[in-house]
Amino acid sequence: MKKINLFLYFICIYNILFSHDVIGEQKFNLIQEQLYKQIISETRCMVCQNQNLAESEAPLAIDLKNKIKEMVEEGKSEKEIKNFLVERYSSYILYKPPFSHQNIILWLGPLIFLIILSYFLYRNIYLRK
Amino acid sequence: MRISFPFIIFLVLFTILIFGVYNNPKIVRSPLIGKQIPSFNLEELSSGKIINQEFFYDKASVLNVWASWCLECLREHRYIADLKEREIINVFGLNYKDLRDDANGWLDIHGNPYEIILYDNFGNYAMNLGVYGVPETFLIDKNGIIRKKFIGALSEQVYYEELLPMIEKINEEN
Repeated sequence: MKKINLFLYFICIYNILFSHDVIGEQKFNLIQEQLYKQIISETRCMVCQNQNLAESEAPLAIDLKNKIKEMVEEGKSEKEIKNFLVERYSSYILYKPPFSHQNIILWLGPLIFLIILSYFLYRNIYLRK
Repeated sequence: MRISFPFIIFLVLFTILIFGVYNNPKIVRSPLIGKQIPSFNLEELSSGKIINQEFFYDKASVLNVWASWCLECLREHRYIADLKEREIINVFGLNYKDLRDDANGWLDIHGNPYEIILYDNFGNYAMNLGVYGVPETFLIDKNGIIRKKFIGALSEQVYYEELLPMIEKINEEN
């Protein structure tokens, strides 16, 4: 029994050392990795449009992920990388559309709708009395 | 009033949503339209000669993104060939993520409809052009400005009713 415990103990130690090596091999530091993961989860795969880049295995998605990885390694900021994508693939590639004149209905529409509905609700409840 | 108000809401929503039904989400308007073609230094497919964007500057051109592995490209092949025969515009090809031998073999079998073919081995330049669905066809004026992008294979209708009239219009500009 003791031998098995010792064996398991070595396996654990070995795994910790080994996994440490794997992390050490990557060029990414943890902050870069987080940025990379964040960007690919917030951008759309243009080929299969209901998937984000992180989930997609389409050839273009893989190319774009590699490009984003490269840019993160170069120390580019989130804004620079997203601009790079938007300049080429339009803001449609972002899951969160920018607040611009083209998208103003998208952003303010629900609010306007809510205001109009509240007005009619108010009218119906209070002015009926 | 009590009857007409929900009806008005219905009408407003209906008109907004009906646009969505006829809108094809697969076709995304390129942000590059109205802009200069991105600069490049690419090899010509067969000769290996290096070509840059100045090639687009004397005459209006059509840049067709294709690959030998792309079946849809074969479907529009005859329209590209027809375009070359008409000699009204430069017809350039951008070979996308392909092998040289495969691409040349494809051209031998089906015929080469291009005057010049740029070889984009890894799709880097296509990424700068915002290509996401091969084949794509760009219409570029003589100042090197992208005027229109067609995504997917050109159909008979698109070719005769959209592309050809547009080329005529661009050629008339001076």
